[in-house]
Amino acid sequence: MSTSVPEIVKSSENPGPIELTIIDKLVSSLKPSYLKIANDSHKHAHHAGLRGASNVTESHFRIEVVSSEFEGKNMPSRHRVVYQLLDDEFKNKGLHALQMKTKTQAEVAK
Amino acid sequence: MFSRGLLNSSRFVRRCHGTHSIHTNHQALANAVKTPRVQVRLLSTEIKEAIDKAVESSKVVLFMKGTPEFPQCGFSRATIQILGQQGVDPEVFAAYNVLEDPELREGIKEYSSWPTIPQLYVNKEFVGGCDIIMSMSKSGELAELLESSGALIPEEEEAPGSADVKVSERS
Repeated sequence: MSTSVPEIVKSSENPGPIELTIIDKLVSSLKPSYLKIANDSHKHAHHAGLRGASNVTESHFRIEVVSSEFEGKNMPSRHRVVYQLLDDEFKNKGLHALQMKTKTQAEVAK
Repeated sequence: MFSRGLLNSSRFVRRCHGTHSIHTNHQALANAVKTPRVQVRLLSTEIKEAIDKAVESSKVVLFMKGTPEFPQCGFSRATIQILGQQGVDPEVFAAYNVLEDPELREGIKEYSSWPTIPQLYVNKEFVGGCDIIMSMSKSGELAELLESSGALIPEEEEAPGSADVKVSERS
């Protein structure tokens, strides 16, 4: 059985290790038809919440995910699914904020 | 600038100015929190109860970075702006500054199973973070939720001292 190849838009030609992990985890668990990721870390490198942080180059990301895994889930549940997948990144790798647009295929088609 | 309309209301400011902080003497947890590698998921009963109280302290409760007057993070700022535009009644609003309190900052993440700040609660129910609030405000869901929860400024209210509040700015 063939599965469709997800369309993945990375933040740059050479994404950092955290971005690559995010992509890996989301792709393997959510099987998204579309995943776009942008790195906004530079906009936040000096803000109060990051005082003393060692990771300021891959701390803030913005993602758009289209996945059938989100069907029947409200927004907090969808975001929690993603947060849970990235638990280690948030707790141990200095991932600090994730802006999310989480949609199902049907919602995109509307 | 965020200091427009409702947010100029001195009641709003006063109400949230103290940004009640959660004090506990639980040294063990305090130490654990300060050691980033000790990633034990522990939310002591004491802290959980303190957060319970915070969540119950008002109809609309926001855990944020900084204060409503001086947000220290763009996402917290955006959320405060939206709540102001929606016409949230300062009388039923409370904000807690997680930057003032490391135990609250870590504790609220476990409490809500939500790793980021800000976090909004309405009538003790977790609503979401900045993205969700923003999208709910665009779709009209947030207005509905706040309305049905009785969290908006009463329409006919003309309390003394609130004449400068531009209710007409409500969408």
